Amino acid sequence: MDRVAIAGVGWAGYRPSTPEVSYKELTYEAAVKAYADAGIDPRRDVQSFVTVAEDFLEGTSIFDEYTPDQLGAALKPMQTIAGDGLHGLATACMLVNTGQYDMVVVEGHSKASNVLTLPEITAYAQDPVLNRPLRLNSDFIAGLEMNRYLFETGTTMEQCAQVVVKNRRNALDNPRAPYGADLTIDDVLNGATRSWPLGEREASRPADGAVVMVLCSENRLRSLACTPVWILGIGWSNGSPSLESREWGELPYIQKAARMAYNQLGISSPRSVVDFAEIDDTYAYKELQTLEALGLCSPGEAGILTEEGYTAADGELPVNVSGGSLGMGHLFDATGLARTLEAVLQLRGQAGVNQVPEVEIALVQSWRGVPTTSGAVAILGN
Amino acid sequence: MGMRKVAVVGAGMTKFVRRALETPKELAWQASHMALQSCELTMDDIEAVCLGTAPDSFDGLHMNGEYLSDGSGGWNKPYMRSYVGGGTGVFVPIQGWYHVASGLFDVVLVVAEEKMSSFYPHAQAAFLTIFDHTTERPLKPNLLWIFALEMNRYMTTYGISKADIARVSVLHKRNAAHHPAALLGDAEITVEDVVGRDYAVEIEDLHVL
Repeated sequence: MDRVAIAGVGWAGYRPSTPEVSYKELTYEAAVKAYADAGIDPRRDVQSFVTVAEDFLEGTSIFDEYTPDQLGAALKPMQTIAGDGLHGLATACMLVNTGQYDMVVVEGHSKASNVLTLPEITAYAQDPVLNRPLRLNSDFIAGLEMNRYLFETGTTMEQCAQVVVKNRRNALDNPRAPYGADLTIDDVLNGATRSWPLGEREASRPADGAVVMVLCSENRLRSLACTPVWILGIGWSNGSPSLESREWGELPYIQKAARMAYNQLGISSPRSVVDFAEIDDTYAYKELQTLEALGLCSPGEAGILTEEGYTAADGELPVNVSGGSLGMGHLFDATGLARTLEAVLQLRGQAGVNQVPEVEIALVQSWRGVPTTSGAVAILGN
Repeated sequence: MGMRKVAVVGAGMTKFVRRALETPKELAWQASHMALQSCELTMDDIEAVCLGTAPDSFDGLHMNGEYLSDGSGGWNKPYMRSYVGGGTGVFVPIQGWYHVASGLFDVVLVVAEEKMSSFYPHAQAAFLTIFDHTTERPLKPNLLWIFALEMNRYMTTYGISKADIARVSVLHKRNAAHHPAALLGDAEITVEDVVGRDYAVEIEDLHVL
């Protein structure tokens, strides 16, 4: 597959609540910025549009009917992918590589503040026959997974808490992050328990926001006056949806997605290639579990490396310099796009106070949350 | 270089029924299994899976695509769900097309699933939530009403009679009588049968078609 350029990016938010705008207005703001950034007119230049969304979180059935207006996509090919933003980017990459489209727009948004019953909604993602009668809270499943991960790898609760300290401290320097804080490990561990051993402060909180990206072929890029970032590899995979038969300590679907992306670049040792990473931290332990699944460290090593500062903003492999979902808030299926945005700004040298010096290759990864085993990985370069 | 040509090499379809006893996963599995058998492939040959299903409220599941993944063969593989409202069943083969035409995959499995009977008391009620929550839903519109409005406008604009439209029902129901997977086939139905039925049933039949 040929590499695809990210020619323009735009965002709106992120904030815990945005009562003054609708999801359409939020998305419109991000779209206008992205089109200006790429120097394009969506009605004239864009041939296909992709939105990532889920009906229940939108509060509207057949939500895909409500996506064209705010993007300038009326009477154009438009599809909704019920996946993360990285699945949307993968779709755009495939569309460009067919040769039929040379410019595609991907959009993701979260109007989390409209959702009054999030635990009840996520519980509706459980198997209706086998699991839902048990009345499991989704975070209970995360607690089970964290417990198994700690047991199998010897990772400590202090090491998980260090992820919170690091990411929320990083968020203080990110103007898009509403949940920045200067915490200590004791602050995290002495907080309330969400679902043991998962602490309340180890779970990301939702935020409102929207991200829009303009993707195009190498040929099309030549006629644009913009600073491109390239999607060099992208992979995605699902594991077992069943709670009864999945791996609880490891993330085989992330391993598979990463291998797919690495193979497109011919990478066998990602640790020697990747300069920084924006990865899942929906829950703090996921950052550690994911680092190991991505092959960026050995099983059981991520917690130790985090304690030693290896993944700090000034460490050897900065991870979630943006603040991650713990610091920026969780944007539902826009999360992968929000992380890609941070990687794009870093690779362009436009990340401001958070800028990591001399970066060329970024890894972005996302997970679709409890109870799924669905994830994606992208490798970006400048 | 021209675009990569993509072929359909196998297909399978479950029988359409009013209240399937199978779970959504099982329906997806049955159709997938039939498709693989028809072209003598196994899941080992499949590189990625594309799923189409919409909306979630029919199956009564948040992230229905994730729930359906193993039944559709999307285990330990790249798997993605697309939807474009009522056009999803036609769109998901397009999703399969661009997976292959991109050059990223050679063989993909395309699955479309819908189990409307999970919705109580009737799937039609799920359509109450498709309307804009600010500008339309307070008016309590119904899907049948908007189809009736469109039909009325179409008939008025082009001078088409109800009997003309009823001929479409007759044609399709007679065709369906010989389709092994069809639910609503009727080899003997006439235009008079369609026009003579009461309005709600007639419109509902129109939707089912």
